[in-house]
Amino acid sequence: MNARLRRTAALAAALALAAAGPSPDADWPCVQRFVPRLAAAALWPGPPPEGEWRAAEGVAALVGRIAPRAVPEEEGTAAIEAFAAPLDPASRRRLLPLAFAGVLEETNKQRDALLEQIRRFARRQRDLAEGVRRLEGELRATPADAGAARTELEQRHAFAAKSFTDAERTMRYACEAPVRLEGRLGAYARALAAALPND
Amino acid sequence: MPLPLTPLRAAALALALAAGPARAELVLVSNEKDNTVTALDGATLRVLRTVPVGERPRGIALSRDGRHLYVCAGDSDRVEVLDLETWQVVRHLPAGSDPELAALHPDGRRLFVANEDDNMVTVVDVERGVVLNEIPVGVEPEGMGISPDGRYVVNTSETTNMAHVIEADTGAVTANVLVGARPRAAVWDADGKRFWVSAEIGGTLTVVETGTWRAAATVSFAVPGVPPEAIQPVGMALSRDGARLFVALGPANRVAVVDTRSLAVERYLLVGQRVWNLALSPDGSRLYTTNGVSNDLSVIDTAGLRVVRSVPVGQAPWGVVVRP
Repeated sequence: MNARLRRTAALAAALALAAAGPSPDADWPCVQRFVPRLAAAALWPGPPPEGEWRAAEGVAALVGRIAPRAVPEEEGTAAIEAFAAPLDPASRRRLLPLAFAGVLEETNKQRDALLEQIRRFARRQRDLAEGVRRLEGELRATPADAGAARTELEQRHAFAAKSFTDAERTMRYACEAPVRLEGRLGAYARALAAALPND
Repeated sequence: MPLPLTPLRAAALALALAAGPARAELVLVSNEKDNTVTALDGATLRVLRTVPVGERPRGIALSRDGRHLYVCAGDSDRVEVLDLETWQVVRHLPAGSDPELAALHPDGRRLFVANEDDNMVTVVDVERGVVLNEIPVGVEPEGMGISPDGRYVVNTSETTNMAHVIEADTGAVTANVLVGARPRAAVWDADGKRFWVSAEIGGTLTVVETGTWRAAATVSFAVPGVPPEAIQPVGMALSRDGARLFVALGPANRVAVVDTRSLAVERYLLVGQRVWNLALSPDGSRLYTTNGVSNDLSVIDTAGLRVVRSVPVGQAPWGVVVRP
């Protein structure tokens, strides 16, 4: 298949998907299956937290420092190491699971917001797809010798199709954002678990 | 220029670095987002080298003599042939558009390639570099499992939710078996009497009998505290004795251990994030897993059913094979 044909086919397929009727999860556009929440059981090998993380000394501050989305993974794991370093084994055993509970909770909040953004984006994309198809219909109904009216329609169609394909690319990128958040949470979980006492 | 790593040098290096008994095995991993292949020494689990390949490398398969690695570079629309002595890509195979996964026929000659975006399985002659056949299959072909006698190729199609049983010699479709949603891998028992299909969205395995092509049983998974949506069965590997099937469960970050006789799940092992594909060491004592989100390889001791190591590799590791 040549490149142009493939692009056309890809657009047609994407349009068909975007305009598809209700499926079990019509608003979820990502290739990654929708997972409602990140779970401690999928990430945390240590003992369960006991108590409330916000009330534990230093934990809320650590979570506040490393949980924001903009914090790079390396910076966050370094902060975890610095937090754990001066603690005695008993404090580590008590505080590190609480710190994990805190970053899990905060990460899930950020992730929820991202998921909602992606769904909104997908709904808008469906509207764009409908627009492209409507213009295609109008084009078919307009005779080839319609002159300026047809040229104008062709331009609008080309513009709408381009907006749609550009948005598809943005969407693929947007779908990676929750995955990156999940990856950073995993790195935090491993850094916290590595600082637990060995017994 | 680094010296090319011949098997002899690799073995010498392994001996020099290993404290325990030497393992000469070479672990090869494709990194989907880095466009590289990582080579690790099985003895030391050190990264020996990282080799640039085509875009979006996913499926990888070894040549029968172990000299070459076939790399499906999906976004480059080709299968590359990586020479494991010179570490150069020496050839491209014509393999249709967006090749995702490849399996080598026991004849060592025919490579069956799943083309994700044009609903084909392309059969390539690896020696002559020509396409022998193009077999139309379901939407988004994916996993590929060749029966031990080489007679059948099972291809799964992600969107059609079917396993297509294909006659390897003629390309004729013998049977279409309905399996779980978004089927991924297909693996045959060593005696060829049945095969297993994993379903990423269905969250199940389907066991299919050879001959009747009937879905004889399904296996489900449940990990306490993990949302069922996160349990996404993908890669599979049978233990050497065939008594256990290891199943990668994606973002549940677990490898399930299934008793192949009772179909009971014996254990869930916590590994890295988004565990995707699995490969057994030649002696069967270790299982290597690629973890696409934590960017590492987990190493499982198959006798003790323990995760013994995690080794960082490239970005989004996907395929893994082990060369003796």
